[in-house]
Amino acid sequence: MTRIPLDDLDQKIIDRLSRDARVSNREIGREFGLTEGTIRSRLKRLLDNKVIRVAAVTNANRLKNPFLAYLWIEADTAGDIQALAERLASLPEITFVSTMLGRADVLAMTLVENGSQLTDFLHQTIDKIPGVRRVRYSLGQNFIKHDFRYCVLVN
Amino acid sequence: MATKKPKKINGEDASSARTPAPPHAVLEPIDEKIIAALRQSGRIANRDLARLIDVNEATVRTRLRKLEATNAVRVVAMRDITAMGFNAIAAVGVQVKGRSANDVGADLAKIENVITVNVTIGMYDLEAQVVANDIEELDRLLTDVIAHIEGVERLFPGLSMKILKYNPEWAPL
Repeated sequence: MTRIPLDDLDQKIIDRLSRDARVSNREIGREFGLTEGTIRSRLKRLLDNKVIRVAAVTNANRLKNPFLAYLWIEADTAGDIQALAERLASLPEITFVSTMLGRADVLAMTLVENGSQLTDFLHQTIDKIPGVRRVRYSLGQNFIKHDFRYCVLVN
Repeated sequence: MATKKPKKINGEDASSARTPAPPHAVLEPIDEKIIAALRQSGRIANRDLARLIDVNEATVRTRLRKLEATNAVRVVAMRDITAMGFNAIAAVGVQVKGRSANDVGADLAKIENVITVNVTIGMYDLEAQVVANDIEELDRLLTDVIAHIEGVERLFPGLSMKILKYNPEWAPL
């Protein structure tokens, strides 16, 4: 992935938007003593180059009994891993997918509200994906930290 | 190499000023529509958002302000992990002994480079994700910092090779 250099102003804009991204360019400009146009073009560059994304994050306490399920997936063959990971990433219920060096072939995460929801998801969706040999899982019972300042932007 | 320290943006001042949302309060369909639109594009203007979901701009402004004030939703900028220079990202299982998993997890959560922490049932007591500039820094975090947290007995790290998706939509706020 190509990276663009970030200067102090870029970092300041990102920090400002990490707190509250509904602030207007004009307001950010006023806070920093810069013009709206400067902020607008900087922000466009950050978004176009996929340095940041701006999106709503919902408080997990809105879910009745949320727990994060970590699915540690083994593929039938090493050659199946990439396609399997892509297939998992295409599922809207899944928020994180990574191929792994150690522990499993693929790690996927999904937020569920109860055990039967997880069971249904595992049996009816995950097990049917071609190339899945075995799924082990651990259940997150207490969400101590999730730093929503980070994400991965994939083309 | 120095540990990358992202600046603290989520300061106590801002978070403690928020009124906690009544847990599991039901959102109205209009709120759900606003949230769905803002998941797609957090910088959409209120006017365009109003047009998109066919309500007036004042409604959008009022609803969104309420969602944010009750801490039900936040619209924020998220940094791409790799664009921030983190090339080594690990999922680390933690086995705890002689101390509660919650307490050990709270200590882990204090480390800036630890981006998620969960108390788990299943294979290990805790799962954490650790980001570092490179393998050398990851080693230093695991070996010199995390391994020495009181109550940490064993670590089971796996390295993320290629992250295909990391799209947080829900988080403790």
